[in-house]
Amino acid sequence: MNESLIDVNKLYFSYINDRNEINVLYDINLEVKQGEFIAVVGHNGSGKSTFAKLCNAILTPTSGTIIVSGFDTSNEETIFEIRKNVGVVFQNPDNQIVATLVEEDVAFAPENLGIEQSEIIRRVDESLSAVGMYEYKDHAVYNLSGGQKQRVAIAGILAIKPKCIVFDEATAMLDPVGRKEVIEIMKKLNKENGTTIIHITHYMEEAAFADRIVVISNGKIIKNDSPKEVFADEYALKKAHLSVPQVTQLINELSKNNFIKPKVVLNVDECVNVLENLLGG
Amino acid sequence: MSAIELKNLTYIYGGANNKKIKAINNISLKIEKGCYVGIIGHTGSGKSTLIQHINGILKPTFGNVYINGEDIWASNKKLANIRTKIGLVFQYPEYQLFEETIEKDIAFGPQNLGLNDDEIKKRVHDACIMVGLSKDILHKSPFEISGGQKRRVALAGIIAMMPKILVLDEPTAGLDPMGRDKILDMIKDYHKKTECTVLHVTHSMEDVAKYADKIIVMNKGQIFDYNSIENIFKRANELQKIGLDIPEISQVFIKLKNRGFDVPTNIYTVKQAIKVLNSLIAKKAEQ
Repeated sequence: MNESLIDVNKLYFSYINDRNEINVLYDINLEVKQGEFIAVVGHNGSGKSTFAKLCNAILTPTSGTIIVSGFDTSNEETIFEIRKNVGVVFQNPDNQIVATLVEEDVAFAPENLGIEQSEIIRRVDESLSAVGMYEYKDHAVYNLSGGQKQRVAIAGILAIKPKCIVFDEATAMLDPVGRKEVIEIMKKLNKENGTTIIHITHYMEEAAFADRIVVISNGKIIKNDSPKEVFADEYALKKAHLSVPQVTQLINELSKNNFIKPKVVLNVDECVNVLENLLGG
Repeated sequence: MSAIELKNLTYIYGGANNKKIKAINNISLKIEKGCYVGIIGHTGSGKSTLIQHINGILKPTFGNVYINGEDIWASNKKLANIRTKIGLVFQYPEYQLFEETIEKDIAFGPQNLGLNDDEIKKRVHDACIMVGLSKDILHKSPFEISGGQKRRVALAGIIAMMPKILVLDEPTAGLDPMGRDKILDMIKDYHKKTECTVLHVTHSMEDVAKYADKIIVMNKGQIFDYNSIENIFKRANELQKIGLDIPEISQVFIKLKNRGFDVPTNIYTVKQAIKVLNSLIAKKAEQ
């Protein structure tokens, strides 16, 4: 965890609708370091998805700056440098598929970057293996499950070898099995390849294993801290229309009754350990 | 008489290479009037195929579907009539909004029922109150409001038809935790006020645990279990094995049991967990 990959400075974003200015993001300051795993949570309409689109210059700031790998996203001349560094996986798997066969779909982006044929073939194979879809290489995309389609979409992004992948609620439309598949790949890319992950989600259990959680409410960052710190403030999250995982809530409630010392648990195993001490010790 | 009865329902469709796939395999089932039933099962278990039989979007390959005791496929006229009584809310229903204004969109269903203008107005008004939409936005385009609001407009369109049976396919997908609770409360409210029958398809056991009277668990085109929430969660261990995501709290109690603690394993809400733990702590203090 070293150099800064994305640097957001005094960023504002607004758009005009019916002659009214709609403010989406206010005064956002954030640094994402190479190799970090960040979760971004926020209510519907909080500005999370706008933030995702600002990260790879689909949108550009109204004022302030986002610097990605040293390139300003507002500078149109270096837009491809930014897109090579930051890829986005969107919510709906069906909206991201451009070709009929799995391998053609994955080859789409590297082809557009003008990469040489033999290198494209190598990258497609490598990317599909990384997401566990290599054996589906010559399958039709429309026959795949939602989780498999998302994995193909991820492979398409891996083929451009980005330093960072933004998952914009990429698990929202998937069933529990599909969600797990995608989450495992995020973790693996982060650990093994050192890919920076920005995971935008409504599932608090999915935010719990990030290095850091950024909470956005009404266009502002209201928390930017470790999961333990963020989940310790259940009240603030509730006010932002969010919640904490069930297990975190359970231990928080018990500590209110003075049965145990306040402790923020992040997953089922941590919760079981606390209860084991309480009941057995 | 049951609101919905399925008798030996089987649905077969042709997959790739002319392979016949049994999406529904000989299901028989009765759902009582006024019951709130959750339907869970992993992708491909047959949930959506099942609910599409309830209002005759799909025709059974074998078997029968009875609504209020009537075979819906007995005649085409009957089918059309039955469809007016069943409100089906698809996944991401906001993608189906199409009218110029929110008011017209909500009125579309009631208009097709052939109601007079006054009645339509009243229905739209009542539906808006039910889903918590303010009157000021009725003249707006449904495309200029937020995602959560669009979802409500879509629901209002169905509620305005006052269906006796409300079928919802993942009504909370993609919403934030508070939006999720609001939509669920709203559906529960409608259920209480109208005493309609509700079928609610979801991946979230936490959602059904809070709101449903009974749960249907689907697996491989068959009914794995159809039972009260209590009895379904007694089988939490088996549910995990068929690929279902059980609430975190249930997982905690199963693990405690496996570590030798004498705890119940049919716990699924934080409230229940606290009650059980409080009594265990009290017991331990007595010793």
